[in-house]
Amino acid sequence: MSDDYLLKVEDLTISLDVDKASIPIVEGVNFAIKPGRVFALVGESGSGKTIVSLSILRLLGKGVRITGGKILFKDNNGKTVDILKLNPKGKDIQAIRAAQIGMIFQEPMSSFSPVHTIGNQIEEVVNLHLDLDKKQARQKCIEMLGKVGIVNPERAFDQYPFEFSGGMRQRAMIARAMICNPKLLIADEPTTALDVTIQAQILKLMKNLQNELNMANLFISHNIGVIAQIADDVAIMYMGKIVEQGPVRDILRKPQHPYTKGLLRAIPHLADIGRSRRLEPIAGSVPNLFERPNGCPFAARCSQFIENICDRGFPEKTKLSPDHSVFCYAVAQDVNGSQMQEVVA
Amino acid sequence: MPLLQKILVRLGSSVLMLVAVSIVAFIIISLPPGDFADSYAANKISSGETVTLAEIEAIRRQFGLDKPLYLQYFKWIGGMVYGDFGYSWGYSRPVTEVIGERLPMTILIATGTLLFTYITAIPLGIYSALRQYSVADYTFTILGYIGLATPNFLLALLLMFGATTWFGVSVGGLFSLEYQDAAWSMGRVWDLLSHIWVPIIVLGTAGTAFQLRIMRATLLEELNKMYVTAARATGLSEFRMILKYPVRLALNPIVSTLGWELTTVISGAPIIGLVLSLPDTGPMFINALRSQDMFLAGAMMLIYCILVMIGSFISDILLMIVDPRVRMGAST
Repeated sequence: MSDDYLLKVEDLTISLDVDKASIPIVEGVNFAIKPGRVFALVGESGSGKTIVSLSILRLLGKGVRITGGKILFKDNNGKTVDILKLNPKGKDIQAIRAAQIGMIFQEPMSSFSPVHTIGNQIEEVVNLHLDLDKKQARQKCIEMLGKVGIVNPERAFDQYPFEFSGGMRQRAMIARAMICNPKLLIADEPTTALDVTIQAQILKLMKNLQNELNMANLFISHNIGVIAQIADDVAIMYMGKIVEQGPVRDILRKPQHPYTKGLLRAIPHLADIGRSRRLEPIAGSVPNLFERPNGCPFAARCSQFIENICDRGFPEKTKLSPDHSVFCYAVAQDVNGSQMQEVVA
Repeated sequence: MPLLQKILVRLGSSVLMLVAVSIVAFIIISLPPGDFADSYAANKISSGETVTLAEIEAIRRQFGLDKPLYLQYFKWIGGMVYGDFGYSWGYSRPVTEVIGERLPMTILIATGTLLFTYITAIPLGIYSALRQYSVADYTFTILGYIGLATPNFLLALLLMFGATTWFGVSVGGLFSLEYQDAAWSMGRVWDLLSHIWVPIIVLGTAGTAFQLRIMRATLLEELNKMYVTAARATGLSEFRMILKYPVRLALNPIVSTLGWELTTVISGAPIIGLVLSLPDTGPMFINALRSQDMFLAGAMMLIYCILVMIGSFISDILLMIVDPRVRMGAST
């Protein structure tokens, strides 16, 4: 991979402390986000995608420990910082939060304090990171509220979150995360809690702002449909590991990993209306954290399971193109097999 | 202006409440069998004097005790509107005078107790929550349970015992002998302060322990909420973030229980006043009840109720200030 990344995650491993044991919940995750591009992390609930996103701003809660790896970030001064080396309660990470990396959360209903005005909570970010006087700060907030599509931003500034609808709160949250013009925006399932029409509006807004401000975006979702609309690059996570990653077109059109294929088959298509095709769910369910299999974590549910191979350690990376890679024994055999045939021929 | 309107409605309902409470208070003081004339006669007889039936009847007529109960009530409540609380038979002085010289001490002790409770409980509660399961947290927890479980009068006796045996000071009352009847001076204020901490600690310990537990529990709950992570993600320093957001929200139940806290203090105060022989309204109230000094007892009961109502009124107003959702009548 070339060196033009904005943020690069290397071998990230995160564990959950349970009583005296420590269970890995994210293992050896690698990816890089390029400036101005949208990188999507896709997976089911519990796949570790939110944990990865929180670790980038060092926001992990008690009992969740980063046990290895690096998160390299090219900061505003052009220096490369390993975020994992910073003190999570220190000044250095605080200078990065919101100013250089903004974040939007899943639940717009609960991500604002209910007893402070929207304006107060956005203005706070401005006062922390930008050098503006009170009047300018207020003006900037009102402009930003207007930009994210809030009607009558002057009035909204002095309103409380409970006076806002879910969609309005998520718009306000986007304003709060983007007001300092960060180079990277992390959006953790920003549309999951909203209804479908509002979802579409928020996605459109995010895409427009992202183009306008030339910002990179780490987009966390379990919804492939949403990913297809917004992402440039995709990584599919399963039980704390990335199983396939590549440009969005390759992943959607030529999925290789049996899990990715399963996810895509489980999406309803307009073309299927009227035909009697049932959606195909992926058989089985995600194993419990305490019963993490030795081999490929997907082995137990996989239709291409190979005895004595898939249950022996996590597969190596197989490169299908410079950008598209997959971690699967079955795919590796196919690819190697066809290469062999080519060589023979 | 919805806020002002709410306050006015709240005030209006307080007045209605007051009327209801005055009726209840009057019924309670009329409940015990016999009246002041009877207990007056009993007193005289026990000290060896003779009292004729005619004399008793005369006393009864003099104080209007022969009239029906509702007339007695209206006479009592009617006088109160003009600041006339009736006559204390026991002290042979108007009730206003008897109460007037003791009430400031009661209010001082109650206010002091509440201040002590909150000034101790809030910071310690915050500390316990932020350092959950630390040695200090466990220490506060254990002290808290002991504080909650110890009856006030026992604590009062223990403190008095400890102070006299180990420090050689007498902690009963609110003043030393030489300042008992002296005019107010710096010396007297100092003397008051060196005595008043005893009733304040006795009355405040259980409340402090309780509020500390509430503060700790609510703050722990608030700290897990999404808005805390979101606030952290803005780059705010940990200390300022915690004070501005979760602590502010955790104050909510503290503020709304202020009224109860005052009730506990006020209803606990008379017994403690008796145990510590304080020159406040406590011992006077108990004596008035025992000697069926009904106007004094009734007035005092009413004043205690008014203090509690003022307390809960203040707590409601504070809650409206602290929480805009209450102020604006929002549901979420």
